[in-house]
Amino acid sequence: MRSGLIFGMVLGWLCLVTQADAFEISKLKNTKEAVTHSFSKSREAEALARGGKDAEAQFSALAASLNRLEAEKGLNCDFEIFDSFVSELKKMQLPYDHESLSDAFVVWRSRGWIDDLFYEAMVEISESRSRLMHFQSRRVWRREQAEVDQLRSMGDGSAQLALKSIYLGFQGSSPSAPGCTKERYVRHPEISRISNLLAYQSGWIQSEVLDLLEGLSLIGVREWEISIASYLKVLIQVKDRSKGIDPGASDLGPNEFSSSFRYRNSNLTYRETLYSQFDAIQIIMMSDLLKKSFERMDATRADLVFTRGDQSEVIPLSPMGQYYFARKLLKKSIDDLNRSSLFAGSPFSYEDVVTAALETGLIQSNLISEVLKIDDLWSPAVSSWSKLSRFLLQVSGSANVLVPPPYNLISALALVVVEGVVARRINQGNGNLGTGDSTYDPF
Amino acid sequence: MILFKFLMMMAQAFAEPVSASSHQALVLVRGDEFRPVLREVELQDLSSDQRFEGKHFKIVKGVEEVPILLNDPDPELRLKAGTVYHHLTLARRFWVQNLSSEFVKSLPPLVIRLEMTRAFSDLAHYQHERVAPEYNNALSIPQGWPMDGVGGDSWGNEIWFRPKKQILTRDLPGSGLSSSGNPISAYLQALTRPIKESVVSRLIQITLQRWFYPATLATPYRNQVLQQAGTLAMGALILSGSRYLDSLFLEKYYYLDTAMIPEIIYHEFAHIALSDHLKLTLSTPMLEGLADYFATAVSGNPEIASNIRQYSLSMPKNGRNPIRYDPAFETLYFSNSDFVLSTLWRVRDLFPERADLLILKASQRLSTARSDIRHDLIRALLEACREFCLAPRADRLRLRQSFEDKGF
Repeated sequence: MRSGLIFGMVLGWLCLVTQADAFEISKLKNTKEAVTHSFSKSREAEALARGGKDAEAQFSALAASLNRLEAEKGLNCDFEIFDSFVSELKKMQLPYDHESLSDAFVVWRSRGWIDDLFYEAMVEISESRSRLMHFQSRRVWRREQAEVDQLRSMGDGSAQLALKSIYLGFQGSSPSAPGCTKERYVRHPEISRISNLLAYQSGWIQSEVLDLLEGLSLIGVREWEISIASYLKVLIQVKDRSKGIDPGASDLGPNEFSSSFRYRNSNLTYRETLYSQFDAIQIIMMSDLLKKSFERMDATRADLVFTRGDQSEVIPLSPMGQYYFARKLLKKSIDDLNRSSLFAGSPFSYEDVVTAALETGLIQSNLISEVLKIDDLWSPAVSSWSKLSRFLLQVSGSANVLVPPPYNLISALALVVVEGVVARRINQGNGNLGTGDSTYDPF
Repeated sequence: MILFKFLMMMAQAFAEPVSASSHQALVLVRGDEFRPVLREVELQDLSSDQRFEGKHFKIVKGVEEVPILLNDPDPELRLKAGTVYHHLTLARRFWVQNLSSEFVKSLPPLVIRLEMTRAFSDLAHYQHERVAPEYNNALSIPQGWPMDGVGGDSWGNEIWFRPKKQILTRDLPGSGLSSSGNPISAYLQALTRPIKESVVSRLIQITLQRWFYPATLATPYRNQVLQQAGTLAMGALILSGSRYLDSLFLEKYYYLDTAMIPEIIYHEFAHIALSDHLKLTLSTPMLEGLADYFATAVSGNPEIASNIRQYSLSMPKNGRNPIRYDPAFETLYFSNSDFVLSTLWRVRDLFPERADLLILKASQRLSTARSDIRHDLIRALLEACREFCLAPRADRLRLRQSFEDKGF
């Protein structure tokens, strides 16, 4: 009985450890993107027709492979993750070629089992993997050889030693077993075709490694917006970690804002930008800015305190004054954080803050339009009509002198009426925003 | 025997009436498109089969204490009494059933005075009939008792409806209108000076040009002078012509037959219903706005006294008025503006199912004398939402943004 008890305890501990390291496949479920930009309806129909029957089994294989890899080594390397998935598919005797997997990814996305980010990362790596598998580097050109020779001869030995140490880290890799080469390659921007050739000719790497590095360059891994490993790392730490500003409120599902394009001519959505430019800590910090702001808005009281010596004058803010002040403080916090070393090289905007808050679950889709209006205080949304009206009013006053008398009287009268009606509306609408005038009087 | 018969007649006159629950009466109600229509309805909860007296309301005329007869010979008085009784019953039902107001449920029967011209006196109930008779109004009277030495009985909460009286708009205090001109004339008068200055400067310019650079004058000097003179003449002509528009603005009447306007009846009852926290001592913008809100909540329409021309020729109040906040709205002068109503109606737009409860709970945090709109009403609404909104933080953010749009 005693040994049975000890065995049970050990088993329980093992389960706990395993449980702690297990990857929750439910994390991949799309709960944020209401719209997909990754494929068309026709492609979706085609994939459903072809790949529908194996999709569920393939997804189970993905879950199993991620669980196993997370427990063994961690989810750190893209090709490792993908190769682990493929080997699981092989074990389960499921299709694993690129075309079948592409269909499977479409099916997973259309059923909401994954989101656009994971879909695109998987499609990219699947395609790249198949191209990389049998890649062989091309022959050396004369001009390239000259550059290699020049690189070999220039500088002191320390630079070459540093380069050698980088390349020695690639030993054992090959296009059929890339491991974490891609991550190491991206981490070292000094790796180039010329340095590859130098390394190979110096005997630091074998031909397979050269083929692998050249292959990585060809598939452009440095331009990948999002990698699976980085995506999963952020996802685990960030997604829905917050209880929400109203913990009792039910989840309202995906939103359109996260999957809308950041700029007019960009193909990056807000969510893609978030995952590609910021790490987990940064995303959590951005989300916390909004959380802090809500707490300030909801404080039961806010006072201004003027202290002169040992005397204090306390002036209470009105409820709306408190609200405006909280918004101004939010702007200040965004500016301060942007200037800090934590965000050096990765400036963020208010929309990124909103996206981060959506991602952490601090806010839900029903609150997006209201939260986006918070920054109207310093970045007012001016409609096209308002812009046009203002321009016309400015110009028409001067243009009136060109109207010959006595008709200029009629145009002047019309202008007065228009200014009296339209301009008052404009001033009431947008003129009070972001100008710091008395309408935002805190008292 | 004769004495016995006389005593029996007196007993019959003063005996407890038989509990009659309903009576068909002609009343004014709101029909399609919010238009007033006359309709036969059943008056509920009557406790008399002869008079407009019920479990909750007693309708009297002026300072009388005896309720109006159900078959009173004056048809207009019957119509008013029926209308007031019917709509007060609806209002009471709203407060008891929709808002679960225990205070309203426990109210003793209210005395409702129609055609009441006497001014209120908190020392003696009402002033002498010759002292400043009042018209075109309705008010809620707080309970009280006469000053020592004055004599008379104490009184409970009452609602008084004044009779209508036609008044010229220009005689209304604070109308901004005067016999000096209509608004369009006033507007044009403001243009006179800039036009004159423009003409004078142009004349100076062309004169100087004629003296020093005559060759640069494209049009003959005389023609240009005539043009400028023509401009002045046209301006004067338009200004004088605008006086003919006076009749559109100045020769207007105002009247308000408050007893025939359902929303005013609901408004006055709302004052009584709110009087457990908001005393009826002073008419403030916030108090009037709250009563307006509940009046529109009972009627289901954001407008008060609109589409009812035969009984109201005055500016109706509109819960959809987009007017923005101005500190002037805190003053007693603007007690009857629709600013607070339109602010509260926006709360209803945001939370249609909870707004009535929210606003009621908010009103319980306010006081008549001390509370203002900008600080206290806003804070009360936000605090009520903290407790009664489904998603308190999100809903409070929505409220704040709604208040921001209103110019707070």
